[in-house]
Amino acid sequence: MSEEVYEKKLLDKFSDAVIDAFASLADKIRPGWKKRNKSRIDEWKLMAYAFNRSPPGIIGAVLIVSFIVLAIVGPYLAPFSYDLQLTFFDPDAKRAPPGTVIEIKGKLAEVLGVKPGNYTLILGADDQGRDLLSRLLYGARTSLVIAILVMAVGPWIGIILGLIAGYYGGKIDELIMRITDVFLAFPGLILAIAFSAVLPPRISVFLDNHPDVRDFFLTLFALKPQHAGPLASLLAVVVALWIVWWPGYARLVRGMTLSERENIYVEAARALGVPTRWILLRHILPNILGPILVYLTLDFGGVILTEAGLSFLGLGAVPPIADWGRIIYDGSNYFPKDWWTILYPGLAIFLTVLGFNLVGDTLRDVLDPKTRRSIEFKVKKKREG
Amino acid sequence: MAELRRFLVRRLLTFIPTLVGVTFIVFVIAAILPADPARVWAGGEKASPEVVQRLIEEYHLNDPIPVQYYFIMKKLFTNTMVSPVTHRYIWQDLMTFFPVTLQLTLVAFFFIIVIGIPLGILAALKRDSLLDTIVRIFALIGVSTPIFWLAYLLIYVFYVKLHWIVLAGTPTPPYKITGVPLIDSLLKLDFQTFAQIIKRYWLPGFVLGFAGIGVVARIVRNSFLDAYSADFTEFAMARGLTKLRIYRHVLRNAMIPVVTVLGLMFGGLLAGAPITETIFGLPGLGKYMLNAIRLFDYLALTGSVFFVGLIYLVANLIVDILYAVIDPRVRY
Repeated sequence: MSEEVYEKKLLDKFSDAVIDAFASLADKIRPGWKKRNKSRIDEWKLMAYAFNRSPPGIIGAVLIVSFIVLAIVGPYLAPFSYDLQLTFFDPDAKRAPPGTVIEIKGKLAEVLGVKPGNYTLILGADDQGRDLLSRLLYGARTSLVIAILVMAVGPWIGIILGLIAGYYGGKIDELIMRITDVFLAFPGLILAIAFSAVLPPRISVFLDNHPDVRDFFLTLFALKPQHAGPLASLLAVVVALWIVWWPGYARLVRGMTLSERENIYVEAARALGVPTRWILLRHILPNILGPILVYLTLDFGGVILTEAGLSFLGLGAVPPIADWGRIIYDGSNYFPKDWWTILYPGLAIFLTVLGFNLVGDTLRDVLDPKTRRSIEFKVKKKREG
Repeated sequence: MAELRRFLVRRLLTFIPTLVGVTFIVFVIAAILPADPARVWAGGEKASPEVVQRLIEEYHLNDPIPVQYYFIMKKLFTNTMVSPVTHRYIWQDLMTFFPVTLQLTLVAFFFIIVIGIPLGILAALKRDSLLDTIVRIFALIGVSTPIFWLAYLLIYVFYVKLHWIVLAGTPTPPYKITGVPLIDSLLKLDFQTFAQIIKRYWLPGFVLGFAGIGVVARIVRNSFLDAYSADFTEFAMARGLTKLRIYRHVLRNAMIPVVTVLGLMFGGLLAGAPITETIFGLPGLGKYMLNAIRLFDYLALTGSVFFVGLIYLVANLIVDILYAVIDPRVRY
């Protein structure tokens, strides 16, 4: 495949550079990787080429990247802490509409570590006089950390169980799928509500016994040490979503493994005496990863949405933790007068989740080999004609 | 026909272990109680030790796990579970709260079918047109919108600005046939009550169904296109059938996967109800669950989770059976 025939735009050059950089890195770790995976690298470049041709995909990618960047640097960028009540400085800060200017001065500013001066509350303040912009920035961190914690464990329980069920079949398959059925017998949100309601006391006890784990999560969520209490209910949501988020993957992966294991390469690996674990993770999983990746992307947004919903219902984030769903819940008491406490956090959730859905939807097309072949075909036709 | 019967028997047999599993999960929820539920139920720190002791005995809180499991399941299945907080029969409570959720779900379902299916067919007929793109984007927007946010935006438009909706009260007619006022008023041809209910429910129903509309439109579009490229369609074209008649054939075949998705979605809508009910102040199952959580009434919570699980399970069973009946090719 000669690369010159493609009309490469700036974006393509960028994505090629990223892929090349990754390939060189892999080559450094395992010499010869680049040469062995030449066709794979070409295929990746073609995928990026197809992705770059999809405006929704690019919009989605921009949304995701801005969300992740804001979630990482947001807490440092925020003008105030998530729990700072500006009413200390100016009583007008309570339920201040967007654009209100408040003056910060006096000894209190020194004590609280805020620089004196005039601040414009771009997005207004909530009923406690807390700056909404700062809370939204901290809220991005909360959302991202919860979503990563959920996605790093939940789906993988399902993927591994699905691989085992599909590969072994028989009684093991039957057992795993019956258990999966039981979990699928509940609507996800209901089960999540129930577990995030009953789990916090237990997690609280666990955190008290493991101060290092507690401190780790406090840093991760960018919380002050005195807010270790509300941490338990945030982690309860994570555990509740693990419980809810694996069965779908188990069913999906089992189905794909069932058809994949019939392939000759699996038989060859088995004949060579490759351990089962290796066959599952190194042979079958990479071959079914495409559709899984699409679902993982879509569900990343789904987790953010569900978590916000739980917080809206009063589960999960407890005051004073900044969480998008919780901000809307607290603001709803003053609806419709304090519209900004509902409009902006909702917009933040919407744009973030939309980003993941746009990218997921585009990935579905890009990972479909038919799309890539049709691009090659078009290019070929163009060259000949 | 014999094959269908065998399928039904097999499907019913797998229903039983699943139900047992459901009871296990329900029990786990009840078992992860906070440290001292009896004290909380009796009124916190100031509770008298006798009352706490009585509650512990009454609800078998200190008994071995199997005894607790037996106790909870016996009470749930015989409908004799009494809430330690409200002192009411939980099953009876569920029966009064459920019709509200069901009505809400029915209205949401109505929107999904009436908007989603035609939209999907139009998108398929005008494939790759602007309309098709709009439907695709609409579907993505639908699943990305937090429904609690959408609810407030729409309340602002339709309640604060336009006054098109009533947000208080739940009309209950004086007669009772099925126990669901929406259906009862239709059966009795009592259009005044029916209109009242619709005025109260249309917006919450729309909010609840919003995400589903786009999803169903996408599925209808894709399965319509699949059926359109099938051999039988080509044959129908070769025979020179009119376009309209071809579309009728296509539609019938395209509806098969749609029915399954709609069935599964019905259960999903029931689950999505807590948020909608909270915002619109509808006294439904979801509201009941959240109230139970607020009052530390874990047995009512357990009871409602069990109830929802049961309904979901039965709904899926009906979908599977319907699927086998509609599509004669499907055999398991």
